[in-house]
Amino acid sequence: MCGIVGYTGYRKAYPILLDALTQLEYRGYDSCGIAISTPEGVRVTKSIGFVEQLEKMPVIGEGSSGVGHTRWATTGKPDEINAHPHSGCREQLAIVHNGDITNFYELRQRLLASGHVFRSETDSEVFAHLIEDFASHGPVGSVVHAIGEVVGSFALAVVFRDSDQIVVARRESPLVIGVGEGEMFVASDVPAIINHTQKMMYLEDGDVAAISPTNVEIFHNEVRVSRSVHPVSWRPEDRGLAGYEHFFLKEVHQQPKVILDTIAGRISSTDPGITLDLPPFPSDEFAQIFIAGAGSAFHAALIGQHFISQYSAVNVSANIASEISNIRPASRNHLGVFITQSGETADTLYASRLARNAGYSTIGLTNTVDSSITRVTDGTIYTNAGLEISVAASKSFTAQIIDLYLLGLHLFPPPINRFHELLTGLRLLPAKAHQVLGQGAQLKTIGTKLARHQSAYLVSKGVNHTTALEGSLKLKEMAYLHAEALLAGELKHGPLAMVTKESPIIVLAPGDETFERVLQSIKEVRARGASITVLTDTHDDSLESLVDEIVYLPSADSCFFPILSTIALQLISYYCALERGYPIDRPRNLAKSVTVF
Amino acid sequence: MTHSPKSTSQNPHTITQAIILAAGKGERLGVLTYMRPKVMLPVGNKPIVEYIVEALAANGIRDIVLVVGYHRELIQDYLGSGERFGVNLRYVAQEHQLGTGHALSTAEDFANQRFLVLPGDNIVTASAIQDLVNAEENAILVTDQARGEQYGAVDVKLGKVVELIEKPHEQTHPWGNTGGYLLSHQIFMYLSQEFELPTAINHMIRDGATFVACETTTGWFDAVYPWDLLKLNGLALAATAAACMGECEPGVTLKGAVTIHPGSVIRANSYIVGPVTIGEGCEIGPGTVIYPYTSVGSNVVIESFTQLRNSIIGDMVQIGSHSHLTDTIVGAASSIGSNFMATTGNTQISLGGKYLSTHMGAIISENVTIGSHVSVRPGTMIGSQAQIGDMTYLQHDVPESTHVI
Repeated sequence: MCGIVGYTGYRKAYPILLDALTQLEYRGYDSCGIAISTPEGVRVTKSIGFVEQLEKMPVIGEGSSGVGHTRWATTGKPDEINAHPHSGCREQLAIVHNGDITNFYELRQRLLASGHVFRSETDSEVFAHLIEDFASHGPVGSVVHAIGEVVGSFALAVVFRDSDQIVVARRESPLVIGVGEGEMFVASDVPAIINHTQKMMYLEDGDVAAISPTNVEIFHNEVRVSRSVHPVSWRPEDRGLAGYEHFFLKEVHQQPKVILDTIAGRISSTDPGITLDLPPFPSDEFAQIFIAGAGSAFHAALIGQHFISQYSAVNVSANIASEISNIRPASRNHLGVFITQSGETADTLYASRLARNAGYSTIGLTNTVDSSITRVTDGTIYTNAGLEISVAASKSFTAQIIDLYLLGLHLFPPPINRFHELLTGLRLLPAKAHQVLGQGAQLKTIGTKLARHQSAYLVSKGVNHTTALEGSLKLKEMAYLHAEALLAGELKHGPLAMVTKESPIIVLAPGDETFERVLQSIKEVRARGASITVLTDTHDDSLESLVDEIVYLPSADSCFFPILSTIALQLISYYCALERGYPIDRPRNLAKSVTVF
Repeated sequence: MTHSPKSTSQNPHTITQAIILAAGKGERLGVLTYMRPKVMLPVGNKPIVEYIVEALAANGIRDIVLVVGYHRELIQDYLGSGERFGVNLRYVAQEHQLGTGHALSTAEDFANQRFLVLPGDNIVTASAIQDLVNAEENAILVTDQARGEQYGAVDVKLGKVVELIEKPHEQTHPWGNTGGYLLSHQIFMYLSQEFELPTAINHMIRDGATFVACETTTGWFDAVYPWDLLKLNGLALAATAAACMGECEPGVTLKGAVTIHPGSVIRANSYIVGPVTIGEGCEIGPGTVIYPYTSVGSNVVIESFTQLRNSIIGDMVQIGSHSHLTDTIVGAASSIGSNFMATTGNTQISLGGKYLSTHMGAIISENVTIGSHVSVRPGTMIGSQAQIGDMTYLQHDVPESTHVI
């Protein structure tokens, strides 16, 4: 998991590449580097740490074509030697690579035997030496031959000595070419280059492209092909902090708008249906719904599963993408729904391919237009969440839940009264989300207090166990706080032994049929002296005397409680991380779209 | 910190920066500012502050610093970093609203050598800003519109300001202070001892500084009380032209300047007389009637046979069928049942400890839930998150989060 960028044109390449890398830091930030083509040779500048460290380095060489890289270490430790770009033995070229070479050990041994000298421990360096070996085939030919030797995934960009041509190739890892006026851009992801051009060309698996300032030539299996140019729909305002200290907080605050944008045009006050732009599936009646995702997307899958199950007798399952290794053949009336914010999550893409091969109808649920998931599924439902920069997901998670609710209502519409109730609830949800955000001061106090503790427990029942899972994930990834989601009914069967005065408890207690039993659990933990914070949407007198803090969430249909309470937990986690002083938007060891297995 | 003068290639008098004071609440707007600052109240379907940002952009002033405080996140979420307006927006937080001078002093580290200062809660047109920008020295934007006890007065002699009078006892001075200024960095020296901007300026004048009075008669608008919002809304709509970017079903009649934004559907047999603006993603009708000077926000649902006249309807509002709303303001995300009646009339409204006579319908805040068959006496204010049960007649104001059954 890394980010790569490239530039060729009429301007100095270095500052453009530096800016582009800054935008890709969410993909990895333990080291970074830039290579520039000069008449004397390819000049490489590298640094460990964030791009701002690289900015302080003296620039070696000047030129108008080059490539850059920001790294999230998988093979080889994060240091300056392992940082990309990598040159071959003669500094005639430099490569940057995002992906995973599975036969790298064999390739490395072979290249070592033929006299190549390796400097780093990375798998990526074999590309540099392979391309060097095939140099007689010319720049494009050498890359075509090199990738022919490689087993594994890659997005690759190569810059050559004294040349304004950069050569790129991709297999499974993402890569996009930005088409400018007299200049061209390459990046792992659109935001890196959106300031320079809004015209994007997406490469297919196996494509190799020769890019000069005015032209892109693409080859696929040696044949020249053309790829269409898409205008991008990112809103440029997604890039700025808009007065917030962190992108996470900005994105949490965008959620009311995101909910609105996600339901916009899909529901109607007069037509009893949901408008989703899906292809006509061969069977109207599905026998099974199989939802899969990783991380927060898996939590969204669980909440979606619970919602859809309420209105259909069909078997609905939520699955962790990385745990799916085999899907048994089935017919088209099995529906697979694959959730990935970036559209590039390797585990989720793999699972969707398995499902498709097994004969499923498939839907990709993603935030990224034209991403890989959209090309391997029959239909796509977009979450209109806009660009999410913070590594910890917030608005994309909420949008995924809304999309799954809409899909559920579309496939299995409940009785008309209930249907209208839910639509009204959806319409008012942005305002309720906004009300939760208005409770920031109280949530800040809770989060700040939490920062002093070593661990926290989130207690709940039913579907809100998933909310608790998502909340504990936020506390882990941003505040590095050990947090665990516990089922209220399971406390006395074990976890209660962990509860002491030192372990703060957060209880999710919606005023639905589970309330009384959750209240019982509150009494159990109270008796052990734990400090208790309750998130609830009901006013209950007995609560006041039992707990230390109550956060009153706006009352809404119980199916919206997971969304509203998640927003509260996002803010608690944010302020906890802030108090602990951690880099909220870029937690250690984590990266945004996880394109490695 | 940029204290240095602008680059030599530019005219040293060119003003490139504005500081907008947008931290206050707007107490005299009653229930309307319970959940949002006055600068974010919609007029002609745009928050007041957006008019200022646009007027600045039209004058090439792209470096804008907003002093924010009360519900600052609403402003930040809406304006972002300014990309949509082609300007660069930065924010400074004023934690406690101690005065206009104190607000300005929080922006000191961002301020250029010379800059504009504008109140975020008044509408200032591009031409008024142009007049101010062209002044060679310190300047104050004055108007004969800003008269009355809520405005400070300006004593002017031969174009030069003699004194700013904060609480004018009688109407002896023809010029009112709009709160728009062209200032130099020198002001910050005076603000270290003063919380109010006019007092600091008076000090400067006494120390020999020159302030020019720039006059505008048509380029400045303010809304002090809720009914002023309706007036401002009417003025904003009067300047619009017909544009239908949404969808109209058969039998819809549109007369005059009706603006319908993308994604909105006007259902069959609706009858709309402009100037009217309808935001994005709305569903209106069938058979809904909308009369002039009405703004309908985004994602609003108005059901069949409902009639609106001279009203402001916030975003995400839902209004049931067979309802009548005249001279009425409905805050965002309020949900109103069927057969709702908000009629207009002469009334007395209690605001800021005073009874004020006016003529208007209901003043409804945000996130209010109203059942069916509810009628409201003219001038009634309903606080945010209030819940009004079916079949009620409201004669008195309803505080926020109150249940009326």
